[in-house]
Amino acid sequence: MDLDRLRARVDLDDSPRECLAHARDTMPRATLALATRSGLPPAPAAVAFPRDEDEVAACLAWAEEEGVAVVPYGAGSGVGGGASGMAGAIALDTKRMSLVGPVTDGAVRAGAGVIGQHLEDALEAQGFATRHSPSSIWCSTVGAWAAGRSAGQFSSRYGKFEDMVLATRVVAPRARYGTGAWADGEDLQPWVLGTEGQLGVVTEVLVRVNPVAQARRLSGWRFATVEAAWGAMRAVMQGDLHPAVLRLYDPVDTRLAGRGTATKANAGGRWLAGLRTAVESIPGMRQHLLALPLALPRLVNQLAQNVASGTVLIAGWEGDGADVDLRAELGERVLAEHGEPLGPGPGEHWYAHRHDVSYKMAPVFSHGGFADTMEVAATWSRLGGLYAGVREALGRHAVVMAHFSHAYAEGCSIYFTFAGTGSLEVYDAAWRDGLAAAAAAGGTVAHHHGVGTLKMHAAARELAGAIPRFRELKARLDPKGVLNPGRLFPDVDVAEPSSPEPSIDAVSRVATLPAQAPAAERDAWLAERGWALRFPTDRPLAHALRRPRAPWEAPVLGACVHTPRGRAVFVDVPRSSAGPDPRETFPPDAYETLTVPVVPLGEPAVVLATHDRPTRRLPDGTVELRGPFAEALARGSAA
Amino acid sequence: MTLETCAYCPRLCRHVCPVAVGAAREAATATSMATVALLVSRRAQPVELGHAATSLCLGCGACTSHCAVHQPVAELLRPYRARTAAEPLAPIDGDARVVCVVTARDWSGAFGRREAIAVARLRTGDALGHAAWRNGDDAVVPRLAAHLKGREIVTASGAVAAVAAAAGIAVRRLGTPAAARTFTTCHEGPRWGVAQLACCGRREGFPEREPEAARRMAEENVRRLAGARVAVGDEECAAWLRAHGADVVDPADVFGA
Repeated sequence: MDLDRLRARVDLDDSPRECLAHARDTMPRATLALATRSGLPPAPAAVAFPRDEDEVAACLAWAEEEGVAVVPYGAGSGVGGGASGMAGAIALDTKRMSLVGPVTDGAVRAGAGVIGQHLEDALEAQGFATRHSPSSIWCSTVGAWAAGRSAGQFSSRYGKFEDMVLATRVVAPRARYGTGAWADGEDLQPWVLGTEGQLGVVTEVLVRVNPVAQARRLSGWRFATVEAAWGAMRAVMQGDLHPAVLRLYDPVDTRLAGRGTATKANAGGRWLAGLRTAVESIPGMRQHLLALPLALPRLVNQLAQNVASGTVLIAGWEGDGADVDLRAELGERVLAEHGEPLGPGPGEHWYAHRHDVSYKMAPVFSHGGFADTMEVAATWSRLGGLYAGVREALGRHAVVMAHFSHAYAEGCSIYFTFAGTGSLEVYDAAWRDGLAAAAAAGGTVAHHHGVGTLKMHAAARELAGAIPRFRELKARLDPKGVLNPGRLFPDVDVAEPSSPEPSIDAVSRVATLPAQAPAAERDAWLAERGWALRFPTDRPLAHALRRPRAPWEAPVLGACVHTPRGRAVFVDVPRSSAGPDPRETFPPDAYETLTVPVVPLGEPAVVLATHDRPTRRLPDGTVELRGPFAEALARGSAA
Repeated sequence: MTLETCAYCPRLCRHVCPVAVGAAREAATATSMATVALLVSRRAQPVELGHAATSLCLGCGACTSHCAVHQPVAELLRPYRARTAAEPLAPIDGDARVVCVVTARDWSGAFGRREAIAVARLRTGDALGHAAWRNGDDAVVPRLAAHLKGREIVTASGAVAAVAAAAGIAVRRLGTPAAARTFTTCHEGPRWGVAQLACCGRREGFPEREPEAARRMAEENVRRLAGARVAVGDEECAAWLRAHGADVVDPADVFGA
């Protein structure tokens, strides 16, 4: 490996300290290995720090000539191991590509290596924000957000990061290309976003920005059960009320985090608290407080479930003042039908401490345990099965709690937090069973943490239908396979699925329909059952894809397509990060069925001439308001 | 508070670390440095690697200020760093009550004229051994206090002010914090006057230890200044920034010293 030849073109550091620093990303398995002295992932042979597209290209050209693997590395925030070190490889650190441009036409150009918080700081100085606010915002880069389809805490209002990306610049060993608004010819944006550097290194991103919110209204709500809370969340989202935050903590999370106060089963809660106080008073026992329950996950999960009561939801709206007040008032009216108001306190406390959760992980490892998170998603009708299935699977190995955030009209994500004893075997078993349960329940195995090495097999099974096209692109852009080899996507065996029958999922408000059916026939079939397309079209669905979308829209949730490998079905889910999103990228004649949003016939719909509020903007500039609150929103009054 | 807490942390303070940001060094994150230190403590890596890794810490404390659990990162890394010796203190020039600490530029005459008082002078090339003090040489502070014999000092250097304050010595600062787009020195934690400006480490001897990283940090600071004129109270910082293209105003023009 002739490093000097590369050093002549790109700043290169092969010092042990820099290489060791690039050995691991934030994958908890690597942290557990460090904590248990089981070794770190291998360090790369050197770290390249390109400053621009030319230097990235030089680095990749050198790697091809030398036959050296390249691992793109932002800030190492990935929790899936996708940026972890590889023996004999070069880490390509993007952080020197950190320029942030001025806001122009509602968008900003940002270098892939900009740290998220620095982007928000730079935008705030201009009166704007992306409002992409993952809990990793202090330690993740814009490029990584794009490569891994990140989601932030305000995604219900502003969308996932993939919804904010208007364009990217990408450098692959055999091509430099733009995507989205910067595409020249074929637009590969759906493939670049989510493939974690496999199809090139993202060097620059054009991101949609928003004016800094003038008002914010946060509140807390208690519900008796998660099911009752889901009903309220669904009603808010299906009512197009666009909250910025809709975040539900399950009873265990509510209980353990002390969110609000329990209304029943307090005897058990007091018993636990008393036991904790008593044990804490014994010298030397404090350190065992954490380790002991983690060693008995089934018992603790059962106990926690028994003493937990009620569930707390944080709701929040932000934007310009009048709009916030109106939507919050309508939303709070819905929430009050199902739950008990707790006032603004819980919401404001959450907002003030919304990034602190990451500090809670390190002490678990220090005490001999592990902690990790698993984010999955499904349509509303499958959410209960997904929640129960994954909780049970993880609960065999670890103490489990969950919250539900990133809500959509059609479904929601679940964010499981689990902690167990410090054993790699237990850790691996928890993930193996958890991922299998998510797939079995009809959910996606990744909503916003991406794939990495952790989920690459599960993601390959979920996206089996996308792999032929992915490999075709890979062969064209990176024929020698120098970009992050051995990761996304491995070979997996997937049985050919049968074609889904036409159906309507009334809870999730989606319908699976023949993709080639004439519009009149399709609409009549829906109308007979009391439904209509949410996004009407007078063409067959297969020929009506790629419409402009707003952040909260999911025009296609699932698809059954014909690929060179046979029939493939993409799971119904509003958003995923289990790799690229190919659902709208196939030739029209490849589609057999499509799962799309529907609305009840006769639901009020109002069309306004202009509207700058967060509602569906039509291609002609008008905005359509529909749903149960359409008239109130049109009036601008909740009265 | 242990090294493990930082080594197992997902790099939550990386965006406030002047070296990690300015030099774009992954190795400069507290997590990376703590990981190496942890491995050294377990004898899994050589001591020399511990020195090399932790030398990227300026000891500015920005990480601790940001950390929700207030990890004393610099303090935890200190045992793994090579010590930086303080220069011997030169004799105080004159016997006036007020001593001007001169690091690179002699402000004593200007200050004396402005205040109409006699000003003694203490020449020091290392900001009263600031780097040594930051690196845990606790002898610096009492040595300084003894040397000054209870005199009040005046300084344009934030590094000098920080050491003097730690010694309980009365300090008058040249400059005014109210001046917009003005900073004194950057290495006092996240209190710099220009948004997001970070320490270049000039005062810490960083350019001597890590010339490439220090150069990048200075260039990053100049980039963030975006052409703005800045008045810099610390002479060495001013010279360092100017050398990297910053439009640095002489504080005398701003303060009339």
